[in-house]
Amino acid sequence: MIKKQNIKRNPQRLKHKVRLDIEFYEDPKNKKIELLIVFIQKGGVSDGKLLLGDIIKSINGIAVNNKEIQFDNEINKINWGDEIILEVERKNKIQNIKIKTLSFENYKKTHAVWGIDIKEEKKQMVIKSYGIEYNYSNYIEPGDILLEINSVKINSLNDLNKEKSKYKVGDTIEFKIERKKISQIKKFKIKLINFQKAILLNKKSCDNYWIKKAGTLMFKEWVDSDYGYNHKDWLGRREEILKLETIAERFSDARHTENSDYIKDWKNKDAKLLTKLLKPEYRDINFKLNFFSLVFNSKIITKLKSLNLKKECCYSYILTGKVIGGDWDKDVPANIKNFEKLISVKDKKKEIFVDEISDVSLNFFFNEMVDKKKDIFIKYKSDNKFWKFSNKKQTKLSTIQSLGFEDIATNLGYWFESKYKFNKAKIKLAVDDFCRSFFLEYPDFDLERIKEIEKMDLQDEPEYDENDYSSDHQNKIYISTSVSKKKVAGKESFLVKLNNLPTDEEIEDYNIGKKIYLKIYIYDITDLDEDSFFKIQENGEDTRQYFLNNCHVIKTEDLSWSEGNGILVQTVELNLYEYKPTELAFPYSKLQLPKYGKRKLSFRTFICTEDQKFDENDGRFITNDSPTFRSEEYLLESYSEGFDEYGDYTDILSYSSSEIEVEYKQPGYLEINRRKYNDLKIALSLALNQDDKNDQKANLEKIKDSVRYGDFTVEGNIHKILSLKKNYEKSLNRKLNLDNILKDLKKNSVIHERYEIIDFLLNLATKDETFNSKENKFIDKVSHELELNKEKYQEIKKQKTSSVKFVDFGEEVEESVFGINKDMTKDEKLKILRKEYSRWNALTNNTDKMIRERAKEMRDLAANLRTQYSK
Amino acid sequence: MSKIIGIDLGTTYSAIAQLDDLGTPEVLASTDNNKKITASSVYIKDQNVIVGDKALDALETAPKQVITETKRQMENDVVYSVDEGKWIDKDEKNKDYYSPAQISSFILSKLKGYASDVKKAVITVPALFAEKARVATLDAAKMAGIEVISLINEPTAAACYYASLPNVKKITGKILVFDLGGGTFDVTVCEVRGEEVEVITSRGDKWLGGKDFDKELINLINEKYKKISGKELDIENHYSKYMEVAEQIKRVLSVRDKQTEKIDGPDGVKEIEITRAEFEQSIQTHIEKLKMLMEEALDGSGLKAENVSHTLLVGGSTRIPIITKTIEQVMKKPPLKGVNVDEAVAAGAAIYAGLKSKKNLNDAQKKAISNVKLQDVCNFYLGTLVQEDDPVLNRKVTSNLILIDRDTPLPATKSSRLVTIYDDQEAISIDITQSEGREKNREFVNIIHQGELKFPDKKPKGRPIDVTYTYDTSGKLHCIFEDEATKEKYEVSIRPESAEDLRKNYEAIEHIMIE
Repeated sequence: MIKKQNIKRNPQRLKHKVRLDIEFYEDPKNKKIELLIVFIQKGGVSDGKLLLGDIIKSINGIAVNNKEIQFDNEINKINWGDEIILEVERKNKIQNIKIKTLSFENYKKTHAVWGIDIKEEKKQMVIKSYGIEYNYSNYIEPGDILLEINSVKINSLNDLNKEKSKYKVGDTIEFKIERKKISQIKKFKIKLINFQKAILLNKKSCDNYWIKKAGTLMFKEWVDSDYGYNHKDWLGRREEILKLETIAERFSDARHTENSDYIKDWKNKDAKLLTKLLKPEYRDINFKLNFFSLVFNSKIITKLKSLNLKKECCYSYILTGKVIGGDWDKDVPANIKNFEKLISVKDKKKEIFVDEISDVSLNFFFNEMVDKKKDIFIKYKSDNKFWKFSNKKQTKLSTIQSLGFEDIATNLGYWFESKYKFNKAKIKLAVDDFCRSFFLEYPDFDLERIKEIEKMDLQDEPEYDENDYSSDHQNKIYISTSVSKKKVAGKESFLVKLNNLPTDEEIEDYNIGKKIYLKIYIYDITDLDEDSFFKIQENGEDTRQYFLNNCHVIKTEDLSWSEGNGILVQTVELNLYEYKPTELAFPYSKLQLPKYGKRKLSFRTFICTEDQKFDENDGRFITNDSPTFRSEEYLLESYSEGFDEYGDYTDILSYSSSEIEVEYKQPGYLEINRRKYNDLKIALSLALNQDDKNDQKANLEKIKDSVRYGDFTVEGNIHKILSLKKNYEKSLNRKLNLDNILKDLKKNSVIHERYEIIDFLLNLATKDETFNSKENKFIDKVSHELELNKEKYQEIKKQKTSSVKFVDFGEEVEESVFGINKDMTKDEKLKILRKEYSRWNALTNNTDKMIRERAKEMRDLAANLRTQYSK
Repeated sequence: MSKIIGIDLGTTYSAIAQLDDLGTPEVLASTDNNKKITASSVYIKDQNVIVGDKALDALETAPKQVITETKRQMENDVVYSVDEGKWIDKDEKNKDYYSPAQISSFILSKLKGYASDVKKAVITVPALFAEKARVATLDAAKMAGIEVISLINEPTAAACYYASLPNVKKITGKILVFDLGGGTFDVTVCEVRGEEVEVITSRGDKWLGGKDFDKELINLINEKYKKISGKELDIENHYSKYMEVAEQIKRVLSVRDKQTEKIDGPDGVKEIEITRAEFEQSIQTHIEKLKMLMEEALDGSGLKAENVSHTLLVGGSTRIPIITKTIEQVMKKPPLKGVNVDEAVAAGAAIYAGLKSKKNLNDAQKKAISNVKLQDVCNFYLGTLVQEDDPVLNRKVTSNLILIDRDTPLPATKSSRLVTIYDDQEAISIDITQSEGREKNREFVNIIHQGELKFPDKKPKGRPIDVTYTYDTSGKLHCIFEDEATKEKYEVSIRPESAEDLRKNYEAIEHIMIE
């Protein structure tokens, strides 16, 4: 009697098959004759136990008959950590070898990943592909020939495996390869990483893959298939997944293309791939079939039903709209309204009852019939509620225009138009989302999504009007833009998305002798008011002054973001066959708005020739030598076609604007009084040491040359002298009130100026190469009141005081210099002190002697404080 | 055939080791007193120089002429003034005085004399020795007529030695090497697999060692002396003498609970008793530093104390009981004992020297060290200065862009693409930086090389420059700044072959006799 082996179901084994980290000989002719070991991972569980050339005969007493499949079956029964007994033939003798399988974690650490696929072809070792684990792409191309590994010649797979068996994780491998095409020999080195690291690298690579959905899916499937170990063709599957977004896009786009990329015309290869990429519940739908097969497909009907289509009698649209029964204009045959279920289909010869045959047969019937016949007859069940006499109906359907799934999608679009009054942009988005929802990694399409789309502010692209077309006129360029808030390269920014940028052909049309630019200016349009504008217009007054007073351009202090005039602009030259941006970012920090508070910004994008000039003072485009306010008029009067349609501006090829709201938390450039700012800076500087009369004179000298009013006029200089005098006298009488100064300064300084002030005060305080507790407290308060970033402030302070002597800090030193406060827990304090110790300890290497000495002091101070807190 | 030599050039003691014919490292004894460690002290007496314990003997009579703790000055621009008896800032006027490299060369020459036919050697340095100090060490070796095969970090050498010991072969896994010498402290986490050593991270304090404990003891003695006599000791003028006494007390307190010493001061000789508890209390701040650095090394290697299988001790100061107690407290298990902590570094250096010059080894030596493998890491952040937008300050600021991270396994190559910021920019200035911490601030990094890459043509801003840094196992940094468009390059290898005034330095001391 054979006792059935009791196999424990070990979750680790079920998730990850046990690996012995060996490989068997593969006969190039695919006639494997024995389990001959040709590779053993050095440092792996089999290293030192098995030898190259061993032939495995049995596992735990069960013969494997030279078949890898049997070997795998037996391995499948083993749990990680089990000890197994392998019967091997070694040098014509049979031996029993014990191997303890340890754990999958151990395998991950000891298994070296080479990340390269090499095949033997015509007695050459050809590199077929490589992974992302190493920088192979810097050195090799698929098709290169591997010549040597660590100076050992590799002439066969056997050589390769033998050589690979010598190395373990961490070893350095030098490859010598030959590029046949150009007869070039190259050498390069890699350091073998383990499987654990390879997983992390793959995860990172998948995360960074530009098609996010494919990246996520790929990593998930890789892990689910036990890192490809349980997949019969993982590399093939990988390629499939990489095509996910391409296929999904083609699928949903089929109805939009004029070149008839209809799914029924797809190559079988692509159709198969399509099936593999669908969500499992849709995999049995053959999208290559005709419309009837699909429209009566129960899965599709269920999907459509979930959109409440039935209630709206949408099946009538789907079934009759443009396909069945002829034209859209015709009345919908009453008897097909409220279609519920298909009962039978009949051609001239036979009637097929749907419930009695399989889906496959039904599909086959439709396919056959559509290709050959003109008409079919269907019997169907209709919704009782809408059909008072009988719910079983019959109708004749024409197959003449029957296409495929595209028609369902197109008709669904009509339904969105009719039911939700969607414009074209929304219809496209909704139908695209519906189509893509058949695919893995794409969300389901439901009513909630329809509601979301309904709320979106999507504008239709202007349509080309055939009647206006004259044969000698170039195609019009219609750009469209949108703006959103996003972090770009770590900076909070406005991101302008650019759609329908001119194609190379269009640029070629336009740029005969002229360069073409894309320019974006930004305006604050918060104060524009339609009523006021029309009132002025009606009164026949000049609207220009209204715009000048109420619509201001956004400025910048960074010259590299302007064209030398302080007006913020992004300019990109659109060159033929060169990269054209689809998004442009404007970091918040670069923008200077005219006013404080909640503001509405208009991002105005121009495609124009180099001849188009823009005003130096306000960025408005110039016609007839003066700035034009058409953009503002356009905004207020809502010209539906866009102002450039009138053809008045021959050098503006296209224009688009997008609006967004923003909260500006500092005074705008119209509100800042520069002189006031400088007055306050003087007052603050003198307040720093106003208790010490001796210091004040010296301070005045330092401040005198450092404060610049920007205007070098006589009047400006007089103002500065008066301000210095007034504040100096106040300081001598201790009349400078810090709280008031800071309050005013907050109103009259922008953020970066506040940091400048901190910089200035710290320079002032440390000019005598000391920094005392009073100065420290004063500057801390300024920083706090001006709402500066704490970390940034600490960093600036650290930098400024790194080479001076600290004086009079006494007991509160930790609070002052390390940013510790009484509310912190002991652990938080210890953590900060360790960080500070580490930072200053690192600086004891600094080449600047002053910094070095200061670092030693601070390091000891941090350690000393930590000793006290540790008690 | 010249010998395979490793030298531990320490702050207070130095040692030299060679591989014997069987490939076992052997620490060589001094020809003066047969001790295996030699005091790193130099007594300058006219045209003669006395190195070692004999130099210490002269502390009493000629303290200004005895130079100790030279290693601590290796990175500084200072010279030793025999007249003043201290290190003073180097300037043109005092160019004839002794530089730290010159003094170190005397110590190396002395050690070299313990073995015959020494030409090449591996010299150890603290893991966090600055570039300047490393160059000074190389200069010292050159002046002593030693060709340096490679510098090796002290804890790495120690780990290498431990890994090669037959009786500690059981040591595998993650190891913490705790190296507390006379002047420096290094803590290194490495992975030992058999005889392979892979360094994961090093942390340290170049100003923390036995000497600092001695200073605390002097303060303690002074306090007690003052209490008895009402007068303070004249430490400044008798520094070396009191340091010697303090070291003596420290040694005794490592084995006893208290020690009474006769202290000679302005009020005559007084008997002062110091207990171990008092001593331990006086060095609490230093102990805290040791703890923090151990914690940092664990954090830096992503490990918890439980994941570290052993703590290995290196350096004489690890004999102090509070040190082992602290280690036990942080690492949650006692450190491993039983190896001569004074000799491990030199012995490890000798093994490394063998690995680096295999063709000079006999078959037995080759066999003995054939399995020893070493993987070290970069102990600094290496980068370059760039201009970048500071979104808070709303302007361009100069900041440090790190290319090679600390703890990157060696050899390491890293690349980054930079772009020009102005239209028609004619050149870029190149500042290669080194820092121990992850610093962005340019004030806090050391610029180890400056240069300029000029462009042959004009291009709009955004011109790509490819920067590649390669840091090799010997600590040499190779940097390439390449203009993508024209392939114009600025290329530099940093680890200067010698300091500018090496020759002058050598000429100044070549007539000196070393005893």
